[in-house]
Amino acid sequence: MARAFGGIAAVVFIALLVWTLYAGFVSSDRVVPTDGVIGGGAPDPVAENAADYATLMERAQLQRWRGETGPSPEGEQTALENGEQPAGQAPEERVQLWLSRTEAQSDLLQSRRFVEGQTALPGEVLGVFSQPQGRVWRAFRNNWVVFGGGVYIFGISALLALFLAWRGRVEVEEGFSGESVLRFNVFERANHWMTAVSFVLLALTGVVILYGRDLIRPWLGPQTFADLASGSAWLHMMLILPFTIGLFVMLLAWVAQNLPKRVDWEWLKRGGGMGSEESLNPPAPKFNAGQKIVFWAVILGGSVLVASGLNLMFPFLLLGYSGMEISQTVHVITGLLMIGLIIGHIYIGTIGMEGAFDAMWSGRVDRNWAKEHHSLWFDDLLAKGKLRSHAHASTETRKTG
Amino acid sequence: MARMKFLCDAERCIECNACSVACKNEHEVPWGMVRRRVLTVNDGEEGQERSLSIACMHCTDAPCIAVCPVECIYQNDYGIVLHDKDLCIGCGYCFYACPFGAPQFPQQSNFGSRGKMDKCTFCAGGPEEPGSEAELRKYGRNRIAEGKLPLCAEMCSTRSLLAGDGDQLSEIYRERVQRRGYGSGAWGWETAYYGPRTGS
Repeated sequence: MARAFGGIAAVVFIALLVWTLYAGFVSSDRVVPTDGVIGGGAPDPVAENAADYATLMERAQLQRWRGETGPSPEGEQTALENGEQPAGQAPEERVQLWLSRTEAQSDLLQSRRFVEGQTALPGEVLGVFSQPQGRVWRAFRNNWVVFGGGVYIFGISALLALFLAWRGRVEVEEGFSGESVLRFNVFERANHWMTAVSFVLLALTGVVILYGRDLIRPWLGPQTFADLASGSAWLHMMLILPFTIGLFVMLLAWVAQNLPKRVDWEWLKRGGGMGSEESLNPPAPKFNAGQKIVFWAVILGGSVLVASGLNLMFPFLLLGYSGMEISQTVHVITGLLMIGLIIGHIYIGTIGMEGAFDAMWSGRVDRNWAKEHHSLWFDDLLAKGKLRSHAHASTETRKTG
Repeated sequence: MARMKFLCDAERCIECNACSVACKNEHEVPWGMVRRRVLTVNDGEEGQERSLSIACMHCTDAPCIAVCPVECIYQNDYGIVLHDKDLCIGCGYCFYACPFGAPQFPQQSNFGSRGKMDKCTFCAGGPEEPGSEAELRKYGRNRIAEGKLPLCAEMCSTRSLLAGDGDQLSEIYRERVQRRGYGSGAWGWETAYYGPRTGS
């Protein structure tokens, strides 16, 4: 059952992956004139007819004469060489035409560079004349980040689905004993779920900002999507509080149990025993090496997200243009990496492994689950007398394929 | 078809700030926001000092439009870059992408939103009925619809700041350079209008 589900999901995710790659290769983010908000109401022509156009041209010519004597009003009028192009061009052609003036105007062009000057206005950034790296940031975000992120998330999901199809659910070999032991107390669980809910909402609202324009806006229309995006931005900022508190409490509560030990290396070398149903699970304390990796990735990744996010909440307070652009890039890349990691974490905590979800939901895990997955912790519990040394009498052996 | 551009003749700008004041007054731009500003580069260096007036340059392949998460910014057939304030969520991305620091926000900090972005409209208003109260309130005066060019350029006392069709402006500028024998080029044009194609 789980395997079939994994197989179907794998096909879906691989299709999405291929679609993302295809879109990444064929799409162009070159901006073309649209004469109005895309998908919005009527076009917004500013001066549409030939007369309006001629007036504007004439006024531009008026700017020529100042500092020298202008032409006599009675004199011969200069004919306007406006070089009008036929109307009704395709937007792409129009952009091509604009760009095609490069050669003709190359004598006027300077080298593209960062130019900073001085101004009486408050705020350091207003003294910057030009920062051409803004275009670099835009190109990186709109191409590598957007499509790389899509490939990464669908790729992780596809790998997990393939793994599920190949390996199936990791089951409790000896079946459930019916005897349970406390793994996480109510305080740990409450904190975990506060952080988890914050993270999921942060991820979803972040995805609305990064991908909504291409994936959601066409369905909702400009105004409804703008409201959604606006709400998402608000929620995204507000959630920094529970998320940061959650991270901090998590660090205090679990750091001692998550320090790397020699046994973790052994565990990793044996792949955590996930490889096949036959291989035995390597010994692990309360947190195995996989969980320690998740713990540290969440603590470190979360800290990077909070730090870069705070920086984005106070733009230009500490950093200049490049700093803000790098901040945004670090924030979005870390966010995407964390989403992939958490997808894996959710997988193994729910569909991936039988009995694992209870650890964080009810807080109590089955005796046999503890024995199989965290043998060192199990031995410890036995030693401390929190579990009886022999299996419960009513052990039911339930084995399903 | 015209391609509207700004050109600031750095050899003529005397840093009088009339353009920014005219803009602020014409469009009743709120306190703390400047659609057009004047800055001085190489201040105090003999022979190198230049003053420049800068606002939105209405770029070709405009980066602000490309990064806007709600697609509220757009460009019209004249090349003028406009935006819809009803859709703007105030995320500030356009400011990171803009090569010229044109977008302005009512709020400095970003607690959910920096408010509705405001920027130079080339005196072309915005997506509202031209000349309407709503347009005036949100985007300022629509001079283009009246057949007039941006006020900053029209009232520049030395004709340093020029606005109009790009080809015409470059002709005017070339003529000047020829007469006086010097000129430092069209500041910002490379980045604004030919950024996507030349250099790297």
